[in-house]
Amino acid sequence: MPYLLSILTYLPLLAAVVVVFFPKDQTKAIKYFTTGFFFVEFLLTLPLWFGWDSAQAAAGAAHSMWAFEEGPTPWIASLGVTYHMGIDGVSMLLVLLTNFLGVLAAWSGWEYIKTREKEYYIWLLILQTGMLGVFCSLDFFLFYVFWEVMLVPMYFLIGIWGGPNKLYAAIKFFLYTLAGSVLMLVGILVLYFRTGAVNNGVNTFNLDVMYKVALESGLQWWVFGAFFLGFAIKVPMFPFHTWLPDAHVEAPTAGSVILAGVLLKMGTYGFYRFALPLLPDATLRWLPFLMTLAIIGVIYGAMVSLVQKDMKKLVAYSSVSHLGFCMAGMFALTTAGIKGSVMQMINHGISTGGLFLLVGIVYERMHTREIKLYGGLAKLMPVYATFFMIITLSSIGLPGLNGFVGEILILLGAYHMSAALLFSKSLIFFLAGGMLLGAAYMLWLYQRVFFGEVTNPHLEEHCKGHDMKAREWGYMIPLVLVAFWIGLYPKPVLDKMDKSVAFVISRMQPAIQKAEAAKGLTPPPVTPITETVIPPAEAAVPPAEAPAQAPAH
Amino acid sequence: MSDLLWGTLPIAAMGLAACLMFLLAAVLKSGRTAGVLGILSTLILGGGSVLVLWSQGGKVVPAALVSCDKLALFFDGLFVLVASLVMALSLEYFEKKKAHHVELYGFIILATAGMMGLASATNLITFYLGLETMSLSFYVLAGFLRAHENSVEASLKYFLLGAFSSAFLLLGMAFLYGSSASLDFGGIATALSTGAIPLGEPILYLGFFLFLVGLFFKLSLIPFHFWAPDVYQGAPTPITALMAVGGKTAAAAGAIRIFLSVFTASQGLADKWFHLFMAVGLITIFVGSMIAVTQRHIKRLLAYSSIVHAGFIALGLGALAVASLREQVLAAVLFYVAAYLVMNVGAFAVAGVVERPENYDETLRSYSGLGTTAPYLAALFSVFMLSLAGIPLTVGFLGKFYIFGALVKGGYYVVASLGLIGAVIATYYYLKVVVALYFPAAGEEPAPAPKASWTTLALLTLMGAGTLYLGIFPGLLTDLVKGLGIG
Repeated sequence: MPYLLSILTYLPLLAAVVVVFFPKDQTKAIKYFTTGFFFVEFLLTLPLWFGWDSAQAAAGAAHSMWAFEEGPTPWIASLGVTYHMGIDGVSMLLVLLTNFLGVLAAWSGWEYIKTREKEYYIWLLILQTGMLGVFCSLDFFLFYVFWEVMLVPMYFLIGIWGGPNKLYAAIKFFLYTLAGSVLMLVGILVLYFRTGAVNNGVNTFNLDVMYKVALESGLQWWVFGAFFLGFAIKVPMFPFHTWLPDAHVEAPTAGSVILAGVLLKMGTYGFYRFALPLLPDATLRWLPFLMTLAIIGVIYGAMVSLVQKDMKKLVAYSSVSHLGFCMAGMFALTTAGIKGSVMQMINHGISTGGLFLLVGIVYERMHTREIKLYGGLAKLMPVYATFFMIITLSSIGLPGLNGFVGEILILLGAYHMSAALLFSKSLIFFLAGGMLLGAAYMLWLYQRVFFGEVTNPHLEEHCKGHDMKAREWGYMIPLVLVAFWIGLYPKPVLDKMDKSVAFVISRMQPAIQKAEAAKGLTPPPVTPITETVIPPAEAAVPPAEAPAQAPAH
Repeated sequence: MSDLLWGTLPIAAMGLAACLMFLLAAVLKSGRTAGVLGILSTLILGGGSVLVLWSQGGKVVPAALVSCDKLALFFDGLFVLVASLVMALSLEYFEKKKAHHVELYGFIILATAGMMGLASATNLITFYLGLETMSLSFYVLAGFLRAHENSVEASLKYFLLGAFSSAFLLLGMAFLYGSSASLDFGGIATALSTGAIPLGEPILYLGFFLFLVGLFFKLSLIPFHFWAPDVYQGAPTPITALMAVGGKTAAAAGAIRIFLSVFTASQGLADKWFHLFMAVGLITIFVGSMIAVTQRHIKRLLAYSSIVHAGFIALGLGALAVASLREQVLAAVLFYVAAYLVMNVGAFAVAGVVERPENYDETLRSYSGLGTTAPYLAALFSVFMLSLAGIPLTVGFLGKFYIFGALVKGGYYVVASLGLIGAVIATYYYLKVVVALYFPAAGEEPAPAPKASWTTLALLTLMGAGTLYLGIFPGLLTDLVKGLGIG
């Protein structure tokens, strides 16, 4: 289907416009319509997955690394802004994740949201457009527009339907992310003004052209710094994470699910799509610092989770830890590490999204998330306890469930990391330590909430006989199924990202080899990259012309 | 008709319209009729002459007192637009306040003629005449709500401080004339490039400095901004819009012309201009944003917002000094002032609508919960606020984007980064307004929906749509500002 990505991206916006015309008091109709729409949207995403191989073959035949590519067509011609959409394996998985969690998030809010429901669903739909746009844009300007605009719906979601401290959280979220991204804008502009040299004197934001710009190493360092601020705040990497617990705790359940499941991935995706391939030399120079921050994030997030008194806050801090894993895997700059990192992005979306949904379920009954007010819940809500156990185990990486696949790949990748890149590879041990701590805080949470005697009389009153409802079953079952599927047979998912990861590695390879040569190390045997797709100059370049070499050569 | 007369046509047309309005004011009873006549005469006489001249590519007469090139015509067009919008908004506003406003329209048109003079002056005398015509009209307009203390105070304060700044400007002009023996911009430039400076360079620099102080005052750049919040708060809201948008745009236009015709003559002078404007611009952005954060009164908040925007404009004006960037920066500044017009008049228009007849001091309290009681108005106001903050898909974002793009192109990464960080601080207080609209504090009753006539709503819709349309498809405006320069 032509223009599938644009359709996917703007359909939620259209649905939001439709919802505007619903009468305000028809909340039921609005709920059904929105959730139904999200389901249809998810179904529309499935062709991306099932038609992936043929789409990628078609893209390869057209000398493009992007499947389902649209454009580049001029949008703001005087600025060289193009409308360019397309996905590779990694963004396809993230689009899929976004629409998958979209259905669950919309469904989960049916009873949690009791005020201004119409507006709520409108913002949820607009948010979806923003997120999909971020993952599909192949023009840096377009990406930036989606990246920023998406803040607005999230701001409203937290600010209107959030917890007691929602205003503070909403503004903090907005300003923090904005501060990071304006500096990123400066970095984007620096790159933009260099594109003329490789594009017949015409500056453009088109990513295909930007990939050909070879920035001098000194400037690269600064541009990477600007990108780092933009993306690291979004991830969030330690020490830029302080907005996250506030935003997570105050946001309504669906907001938390989207925030953890998708929004944080935009930061890691930013590193993957832009920072690494555009600035390979600077990546290496920043790497020791980044790796250290990532590992501090893993340990720090886990330790802070251990001492939380509020369930949601615990899950929020666990995100800091998990995302630290993600970044560590990515900065290992090995195929396994990056694949593990992408895997971890998806897994985190599923497990942490699931945990937020589960916390939301018991919050709807008890209206508190304080851990010490629970205890013995397994007796009152056995089904709920089972679901919670499965998702907990998926989060801590039990083999057979999804979390394991990502974490083991990240550890493998980090282990095989080139010794030239880091001052000491023993840092990797801390990653394993982080896994242990992760098991500790999750299991301890489980123990405190579910085991023992029921001491709180309210718990008996509100939860006994109120185990999972059909709707709650409905949105938890898919998560559990996916967790098992990825845990038991991750190959299809991993295969999808082959080419995409190979491209990033191929961009990094010359810089890594240079670093190794400088330290007198022989390069370790690298698995040969069978096919490397480097984007051609323009769509119009005749196929006879050999694809341009990576500039770092 | 001689070319000389053609060149002064827009100014003359607006002057004529002003005279007509003053004469009619003697016989007209109803402010509404006067207002409609004012709008019509502005659009027909002012707008018509601008369009006619634009279609002829402007009229430039060597050694004339004014230049009617396309750059001046672009500004003239903006002034006609803002004057018409302000008059249309004043109609309802003054009726709501039950204030006499028959003569108001004459003064608005006269102020517009002054702005046009400022934008096209090529001589110190005409520059001063334009500036004073505009300022004197503003002094009167600011005090038009005679029954309200604030308005009278604003008028007096503006007059006293304005007169003071004019004195600086005049003294600067005297020094300039003394050291270069010419009142004409071209003459001063010749003196600069040939080095024929009788009184020596220090006096010339002093002259420029004092002259620029006068301009900084009109642009309300920090530290010459102290008048702005009080005056903006006290003046009738549509008039505030005129001062904030028209007055500043005119001052920026004057700065652009004097830079392009005089300062380009000497690289040393251009460098000084660069440093001065960059420093003042950055200070204005930072200090202005930080003060704005503490404001609760909507018009004071918008006043500080316009101060901060002047800071962004100043960064653009400063970057004019870099020869390799000049063309791009000029287009960026022109884009910015046009963007600023659309979103800021819109914001002030909403402020005028929300203002209640009896109550003059409007804090954010009267915006609390408008998101539920007046959703359409609140949505429009949010669009203007987000545009002023510079969130993408609005014209305000592109305005900033052009200016900072030019700075990055020139390699001024630090200035660009600092300016953008300032913009983030500024976002905080725009969000504060959005917070008031949509997230009323617990237990706070939402403010009642204000009444607005369909004409006002239509104008607001137009400006909101313009903010978004130009934010997504700016081609219309970028084509217009491309390649404009002094003739």
